[in-house]
Amino acid sequence: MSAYDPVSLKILWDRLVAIADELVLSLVRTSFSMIVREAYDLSCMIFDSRARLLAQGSYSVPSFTGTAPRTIAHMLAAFPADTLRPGDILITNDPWMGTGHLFDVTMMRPVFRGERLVGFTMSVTHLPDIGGKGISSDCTEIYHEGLRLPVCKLRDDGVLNTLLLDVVRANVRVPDQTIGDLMANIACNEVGGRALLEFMDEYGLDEIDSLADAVNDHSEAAMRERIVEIPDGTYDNRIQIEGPGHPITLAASVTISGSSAAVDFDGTDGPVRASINVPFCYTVAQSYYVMKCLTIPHLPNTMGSTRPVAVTAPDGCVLNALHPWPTGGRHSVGHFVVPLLMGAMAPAVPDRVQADGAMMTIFSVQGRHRDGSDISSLFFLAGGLGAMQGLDGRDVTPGPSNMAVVPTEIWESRTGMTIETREVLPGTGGAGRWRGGDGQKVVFRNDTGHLMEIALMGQRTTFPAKGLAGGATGCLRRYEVNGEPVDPKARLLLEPGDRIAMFEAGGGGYGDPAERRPG
Amino acid sequence: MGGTTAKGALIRGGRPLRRYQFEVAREYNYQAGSGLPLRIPVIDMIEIGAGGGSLATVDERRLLAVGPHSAGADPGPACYGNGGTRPTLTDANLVLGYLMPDGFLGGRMALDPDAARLAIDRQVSGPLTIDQARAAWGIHEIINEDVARAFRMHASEIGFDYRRCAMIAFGGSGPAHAVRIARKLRIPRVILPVAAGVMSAIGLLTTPVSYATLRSWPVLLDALEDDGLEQGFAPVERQAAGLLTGAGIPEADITIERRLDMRFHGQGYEIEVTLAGQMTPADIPELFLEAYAAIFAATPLDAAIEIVNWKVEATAPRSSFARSYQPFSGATQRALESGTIEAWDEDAGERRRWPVLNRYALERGQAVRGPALIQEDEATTVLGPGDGIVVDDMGNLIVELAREGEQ
Repeated sequence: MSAYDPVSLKILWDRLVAIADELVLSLVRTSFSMIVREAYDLSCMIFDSRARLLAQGSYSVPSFTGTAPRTIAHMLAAFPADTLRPGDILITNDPWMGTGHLFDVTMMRPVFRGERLVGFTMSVTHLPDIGGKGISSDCTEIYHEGLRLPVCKLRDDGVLNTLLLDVVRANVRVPDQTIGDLMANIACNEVGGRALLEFMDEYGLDEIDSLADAVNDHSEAAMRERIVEIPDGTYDNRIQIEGPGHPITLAASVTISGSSAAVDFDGTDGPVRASINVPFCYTVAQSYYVMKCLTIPHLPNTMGSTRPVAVTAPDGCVLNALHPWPTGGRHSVGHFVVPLLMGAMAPAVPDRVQADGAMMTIFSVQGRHRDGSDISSLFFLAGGLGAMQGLDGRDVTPGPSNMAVVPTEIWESRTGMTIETREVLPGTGGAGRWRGGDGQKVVFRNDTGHLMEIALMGQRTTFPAKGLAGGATGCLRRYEVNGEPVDPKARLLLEPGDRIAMFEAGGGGYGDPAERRPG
Repeated sequence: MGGTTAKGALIRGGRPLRRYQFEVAREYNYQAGSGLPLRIPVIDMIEIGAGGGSLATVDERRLLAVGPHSAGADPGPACYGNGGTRPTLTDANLVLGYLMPDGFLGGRMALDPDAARLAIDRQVSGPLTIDQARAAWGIHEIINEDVARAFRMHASEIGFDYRRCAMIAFGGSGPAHAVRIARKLRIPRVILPVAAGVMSAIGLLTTPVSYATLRSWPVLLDALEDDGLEQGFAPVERQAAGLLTGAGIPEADITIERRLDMRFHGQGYEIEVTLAGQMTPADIPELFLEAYAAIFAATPLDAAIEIVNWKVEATAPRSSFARSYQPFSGATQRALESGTIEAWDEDAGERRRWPVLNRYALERGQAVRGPALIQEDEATTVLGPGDGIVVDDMGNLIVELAREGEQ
């Protein structure tokens, strides 16, 4: 099947993942924003000369595995591979080409061995600011959300595009952080390119295309082997989630046929006048992620594991929203693809699905420090994870995206907010033979001396995380300002001294609570 | 490398590098981030789940995997004959002929090669349909790769070029793997000290007393006055040296080293630079920019430079035990060559007859050329074809790796 036996493929493959890890490490260590270096809202990847994904850094957002191969295809359509030069760096933040919203910038660098193009490295990071209203629920057009960069060259044959940097600088609230993070993306791609060439030298490889074939064929075979074990059939699900003043219905069917899976979102509602619409690339990526979790979770992320899975959604539904619908908070709807598909597959693979989780939330902050300088950042908050057969849901753990938690001390010093409370809320996870994870309570106080704008995107405030197989639902999420309840999707103004309290939801339980074993 | 884990540290100018965060009790496959962080000064070490007891399995990709899970001491490797049926690194090394069945623990414990072969056949070579020698070599080599990879990652994180360094290897499994790992890392020389099994204990007894501390004082380099370095370091030095004088060490004997953690203003991670002699603030930008470019490639940044942490290490002279420690009193009167073994020669792609030498019979200055196994009570050194050793005055085996083409 391949030119590599199970010993050498293992060695080379793991080494590629290590190189992708090196990209992540360089990115984090040179970054200027909390979003990258504390929250790890990023991804790094390696591709072969035909733009086939070979490896992803271990510490990366899982959904970007699904979007990155599409992004690089768009980039190479704009700048064909045979026109690229060593020293080029391509960039875009187009939601429909990239990861679904303007805030994520994707950077790609071709890797040349002598004159020959042998592969590409790529990094994706969430920028601290891209102009516009910031990440929120309340934009009604993409134009409200910030600056959109088509695929262009940030560096051309070694020469930095300073005009582009000036345009970005003139449009964002925190230019030093934003430009600094663009530079961090360049740095990590440089380090990755260097490491890839060293790797090729060490093993005497002239190209990595045949290695990419071996890795991807192997991944595909491993994935198919697991899909075959699932009984053939079509598995449906339909859930309601919270929209702008009205519920949104998401519908999906998963058809398992032999070693292939087809996911379709027919029956899903149309887009909404709020920035929570989901470009298709993001829906596809979430679908790949679920199917991999249900089949072969430990497989390193490659393109091969996505080949057995076909994803379709009607044009113009909320999970395939077209330009110019706003998409800034696309995670707050897109993440629900995970419980939607898990729920569909529960009858087929009850031992592998997870009860509903609380879903992570993001809120954005814009304001001014005491010294008058701008603040623009995000905070990631987690509720409890859903339980699985044999496993309690983890308390206060983000899912389905694996953001890290910004330490209190860092957040306070960078935003002028004080975190008065951060505590687990016992009993908020749903009961079950395996219980859902508990949520948390976090209280922030505006100590900047200025007005502060907070944009909330909270879900699970009317539709709780449901349990599975007799497990109970988790508690709802809610927010209070100075003790009074507030709209969980609002843009709020905090006066100096105001307190906002966030009560994060609990995850769903799994199995009958009466069967829970003591201890 | 011992029975369950391999650890490694980088030593520059005769001193191990330090770090100020350490993760313990890792819960998930020794992976970073799954444990509890401690903020203490420690020797900057990598640790991976690779040792003699590391279990070989077939992973979800249908590829050979080794570790991080270990058979431990009970039941231990299949060849121990204590009921273990799952193949380990030690089983693979035995099958490859890198361990003598009757030479383990100075001959006090017999190993069962048939049990090792059976375990590898059942769990690895059978399911993967590869031959037994390839499977055993794969287990041996994957561990070498894992250790080499961990070193590479670690070195790149701090911009350390190890290709002109020597590797010091110890622990029960260290000498069996060190030469091959060094070759992967293009390290030309390996040093194998006496008493591989108890080196860590000897290290604790010989290390000089020292105290490392730091003070966080974030300051922009531009804002530093001409005597700013003295202002920053003086209180930290007083504290560090004070602890040593309090322990009875004369002030004149104390050595002070100054280091700074620096970054571009606005970043969240620092890089460490060590100050030489009487430096002034004017010397610092170059020191920082050079270190930064070496680690992250040359990225032009127009941001201000910031000092974050002021670090001082005060060190006393070497202990009296270190000065008097004599690990080696000369060769014993035993025969140098104790036998031969059929060992796997990867470059030849077949088994070859290698001599087995008794380490205790090696004299100061004596030279030996590989291939050979060199046996001692606690460990076995695997010397590939063309690799040469010389015994130094301390009894260390100094391995000069064969250059390309000499193997």
